[in-house]
Amino acid sequence: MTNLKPVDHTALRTNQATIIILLILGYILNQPLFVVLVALFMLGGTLLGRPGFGWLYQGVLKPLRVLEPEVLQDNPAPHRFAQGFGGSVVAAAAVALFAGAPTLGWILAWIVVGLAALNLFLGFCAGCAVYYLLNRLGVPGFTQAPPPDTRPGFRPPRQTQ
Amino acid sequence: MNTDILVRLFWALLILSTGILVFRLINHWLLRQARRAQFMLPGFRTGKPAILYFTTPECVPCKTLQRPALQRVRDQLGETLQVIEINAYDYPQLADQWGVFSIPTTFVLDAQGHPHFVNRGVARAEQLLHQIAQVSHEREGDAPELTP
Repeated sequence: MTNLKPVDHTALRTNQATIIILLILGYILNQPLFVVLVALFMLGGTLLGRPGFGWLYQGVLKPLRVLEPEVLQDNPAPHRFAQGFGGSVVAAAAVALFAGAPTLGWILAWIVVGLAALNLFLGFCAGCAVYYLLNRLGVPGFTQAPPPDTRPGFRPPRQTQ
Repeated sequence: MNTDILVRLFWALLILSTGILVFRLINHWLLRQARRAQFMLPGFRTGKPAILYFTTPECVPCKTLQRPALQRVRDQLGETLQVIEINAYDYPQLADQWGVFSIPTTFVLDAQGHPHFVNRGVARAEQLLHQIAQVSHEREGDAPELTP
């Protein structure tokens, strides 16, 4: 089953870029609070069904015309799952950092940076690919199949306007 | 404290550099795939090097930065160059076949239509001129140097 809706991929990319910047900044400054902040926004965004830092795009960058929307027909659910999964990993990183396991904490944070960069620069959403794999395996709750002509996890094709 | 930040900065830069290297390798691979596939290009005429420019109507940096840069290249090279502008919305399959995942993206093609360079994001006029000069200097029949 596919339930395609307009998804603004610029909002997703802004979210990914913000996550990358904050986590790297947190690492350089050795400041676990940045990690906590990212985890809160990612998990909060997942609960609200929108990109955690999407407000930065909707409220600032889009009105200022710094960024323009790129609306594609896509499944929102895998993106939400990916953000929730990433947010959980960042939350685990925060727990590790506060529990006195900085190496583990920062490794987890860097893994999220890597996956967000993969999505931002190459258009491959690893969390979405996992979602579609679970869908193929028939796991309950993972109801959406990839959009037509789209490999699992990759950005759907652009539509003729 | 400062030393600690510097060490962390070093590690961050090292990790980021590795990421950029991997990105360049992937670009290289995508360029090779595009070259092998030899997709039909609307408006391409063999005999002149070309810039294949993927854009969309809403792309702001395309209007404010990329198009003026392309105009400068056109002004400088005149009829010796062809610029093929593709609206990625009109040719979604073509954009996907060429591995376009961000807009603007420019490819520099030789006179036979083989891609040699890809620029993801805005490419400066000087950068494009340098790439075209490299493509033009290659002898016919030489294996193109693929550079992401």
